[in-house]
Amino acid sequence: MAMADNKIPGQGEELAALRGVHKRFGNIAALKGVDLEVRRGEIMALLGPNGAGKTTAISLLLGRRKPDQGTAALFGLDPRLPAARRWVGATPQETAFPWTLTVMEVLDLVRAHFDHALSAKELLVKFDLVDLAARQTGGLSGGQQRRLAVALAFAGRPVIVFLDEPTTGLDVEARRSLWKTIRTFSEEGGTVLLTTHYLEEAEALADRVVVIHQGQVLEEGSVAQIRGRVNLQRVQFEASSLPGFLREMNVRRENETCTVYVQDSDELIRRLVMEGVQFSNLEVHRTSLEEAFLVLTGGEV
Amino acid sequence: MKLIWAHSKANFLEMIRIPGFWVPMLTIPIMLYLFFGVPEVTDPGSAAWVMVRFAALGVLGLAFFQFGVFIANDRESNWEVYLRTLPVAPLERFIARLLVALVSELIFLLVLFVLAALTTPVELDWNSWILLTAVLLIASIPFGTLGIALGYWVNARSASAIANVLWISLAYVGGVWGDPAEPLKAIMPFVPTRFYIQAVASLAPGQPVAPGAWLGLLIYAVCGMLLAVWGYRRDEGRRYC
Repeated sequence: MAMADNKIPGQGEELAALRGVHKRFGNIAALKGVDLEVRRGEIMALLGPNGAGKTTAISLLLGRRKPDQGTAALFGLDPRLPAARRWVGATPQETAFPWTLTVMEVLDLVRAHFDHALSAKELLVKFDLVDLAARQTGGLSGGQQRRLAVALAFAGRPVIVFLDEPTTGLDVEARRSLWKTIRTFSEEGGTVLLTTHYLEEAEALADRVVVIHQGQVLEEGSVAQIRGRVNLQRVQFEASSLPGFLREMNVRRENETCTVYVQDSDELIRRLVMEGVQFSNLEVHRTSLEEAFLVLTGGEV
Repeated sequence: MKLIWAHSKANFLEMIRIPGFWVPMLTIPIMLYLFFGVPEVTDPGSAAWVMVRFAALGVLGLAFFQFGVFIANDRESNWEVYLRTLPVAPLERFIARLLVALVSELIFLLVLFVLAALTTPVELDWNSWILLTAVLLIASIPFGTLGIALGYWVNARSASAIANVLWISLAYVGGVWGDPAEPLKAIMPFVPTRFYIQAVASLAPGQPVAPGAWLGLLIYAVCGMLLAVWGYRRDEGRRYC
C-alpha cells in the first residue's frame, strides 16, 4: 500500500518531528517542551493518560495548529503547508462526518486530494463498507463510522498515518481487525504514529513507545525497554513501624498495610530481613503494565 | 481544479439536502420583492431598477448565510478539523464556496426574473438579461468574501442572528427599499450594497458608467478576503484539541 515513490519529499529517516515544542490553550499548558520524532517504517506509539497532550502533539504534526514555541515538521516541511500533507493519512474524530453526504460521496471527496488514491471500490471492500456506500453518514452506527474514518486515513496511499486513539470504543473483533490493517500497512513499509492510553495496544503494535504525561515526554524506548523500566513488582506486607530506607522508595501506606513498588523485590525483602523489620503477610506480585504505568506517571493506583 | 470541483460538489450537496436552509433564503427576498418592490413599479425603467435593488437583497442574504452561517458552524465541527489535515489550501476551499454561492444566487435570480417578467412591465432583450445576470453574479463577489470573513469571526450560536442583522441593515442603508432615513443617508454612498446597486444599474442603456461603484466593490472584496484569511489563521490557534 505504501509506495517507494521517488517524488516523496524528505528522503531522510525522520518523517515527522516536534522540536522543543510548547503549546498553550488559554490557561492550560498542553505541551511543555516536547521533542519527538517518527522514523520511516516504524510504528510509534504515543502513550499517556487522557489529557496528557497526545492529541495536541498530533494536531501540531498535522498542521492544524502552530506551536507557540519550537518547530513541527512533516517530511521536512512546515505541516501547515498543504504539500507537507500529501503523503499523510489521518482519521477524523468520531461522529465527525457531514451527515447529509453518503459514504461514497465522503470517500470521493477525500480521494480527490491525492494523486495515487485507492479506488473507491478497493476502499469499500477493504473496510467492509460495500453495503453502506449509498447510505448517508448521519445514519451509520458507531462501528460503521469508525470503519469509514479508518478508510479515510488509508484512502490516499499514505506513507505515514496518524491514528489518534484508533480503537477507543471498538469491540474486540473490530479492534483486532484494525490492528491487522495497521500491521499489514507497516509490513508493506508504511509508517504509523498512533496515540493510545492502552498499554496492551502499544505492546501489540509498536516498535517504539514514547510516554507522555502532563505535556512532557517521560520515557522513550522500545516496547521492551519501556517495559523494563516499568516492570515493577508490588511488594505488600503489614508492619507497625517502617525502616528509614523505605522513605526514599515508592511506598503507599494504609493503616498497617504497606505497599512498595520496586524493580527488584528480592533485594527489598533481603533488606527488610537484614534490618530486622517485623513484617507479616508478605505478598509479592508482578504488576500489570497498566498499574506500572500509573505508578510511573504518579497517578492513583 | 480537481480539488475545487470536489469541494464545490460536496458543499452543494450538503446545502441542497437541508431544505430548511435554502427554502427560506429563496422565499424571503422574493416575498419582500412582491410585497414592497412590485407595487412601486410604474414603467419599464422603474421595473428594472426595482428588480436590481431586490436582486441585491437576495444575493447579499445568500452570500452571508452561505458563508457566514455555514462556515461558523463548520468551524466547530470535527469534520472541519479533519479537512484541515488534507492537502488542500484554504484558497481552494474559499473558491469552492464562492462557486456554490454563485450557483445558488443564479437560481435565486432566475426565480426573481421570471416573477418580474410576469408581474411588472420590465423590458429587456435576451442579451440584456444575460449581461445583467453575469454582472449581478460577478458584482456579488465582495458579499461572498465579507460573508466568509463573518463566518470566521463569529461563533455558530450567534452567526445566524448576526448575519440577519447585517443583511437587513446593509440592504436598508444601501437603498433596497428606497433611500434610508436621514442620518443614515450620509453613509449610504459607502456601503457595499449601494455600490452593488449602482454598479449594476450603471449598465442600463443611457446611464453613465460608475467607476467609483466598481472600485468600491473591489475594495470591499479585498478587505473581505483579508479579514477572512486573518480570521482563518486566528482560528487555527483557538480550539482545544
